[in-house]
Amino acid sequence: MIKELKSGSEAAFRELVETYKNKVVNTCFGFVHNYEDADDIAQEVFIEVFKSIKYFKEDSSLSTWIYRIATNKSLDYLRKVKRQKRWSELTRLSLSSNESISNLLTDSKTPFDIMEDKERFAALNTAIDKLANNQKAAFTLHKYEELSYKEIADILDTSLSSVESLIHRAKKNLQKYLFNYYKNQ
Amino acid sequence: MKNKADIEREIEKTISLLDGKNKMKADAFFYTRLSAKMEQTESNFSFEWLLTSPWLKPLIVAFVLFINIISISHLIKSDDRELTNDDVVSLFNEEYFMTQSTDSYLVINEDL
Repeated sequence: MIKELKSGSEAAFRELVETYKNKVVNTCFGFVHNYEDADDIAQEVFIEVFKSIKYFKEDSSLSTWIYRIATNKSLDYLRKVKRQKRWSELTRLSLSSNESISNLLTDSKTPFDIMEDKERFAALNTAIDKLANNQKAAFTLHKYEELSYKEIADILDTSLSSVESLIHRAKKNLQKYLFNYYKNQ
Repeated sequence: MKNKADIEREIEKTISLLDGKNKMKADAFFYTRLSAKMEQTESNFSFEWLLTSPWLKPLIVAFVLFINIISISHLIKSDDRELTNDDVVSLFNEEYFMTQSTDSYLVINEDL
């Protein structure tokens, strides 16, 4: 498949998009918590894949490489939003995030449970946003895409022990942020 | 909520939400929209490379600085030269078309 992609085969590219689109959208969503933005970033990811496939050295798997691009693009997007700090952008993000959260909730729940879960997700997403980028990346890949520590280590180009430490620190920090949140409720 | 045990239980519930959640999925037209976006990007000639090119940036900055320095020095030189009375009168004449002859008006008046 990689050989066909490098030769510019449209059919191979389509197959790649169909194979990875859900994984990429879900990963991006884990970072930005907004479906429309995650979808936009996912498109940018595949455009980057199409442009850069000729430079892909195959020293990692295709899947690892795509996850790496998705992670970097999502973090770039978050940096851009943080830099701009436009009120309209923040308002838009928080409004549509609430709609996106509904898609994450599992079925067979009462309206009260759904409302409660939405509040929990909103608090959790705010806490995740406060994490340092490397902790956020490790935690998101582990929790949203259910990747193993080894796969995360390959994507973030770091050691297994670093990933363990990043996820441990991420959980501790989330507990700390959420503790303050619930204490002030 | 002030009780530490209650708070810890809430935190546990909140974090565990991620364990049983649904996964986000791309819509059915994802590839169609992607290929349209790629075609659009290819057809639009972009000057973006001019601004992002690392070797061109200092050249553009140097060029803008050069233009500014030339303009400022030209402005300073032109301010140095004081206008004489004759210059002022000729400028005033040019501005209000006073260099034009008024003979024609006189001829018209004579006819009357």
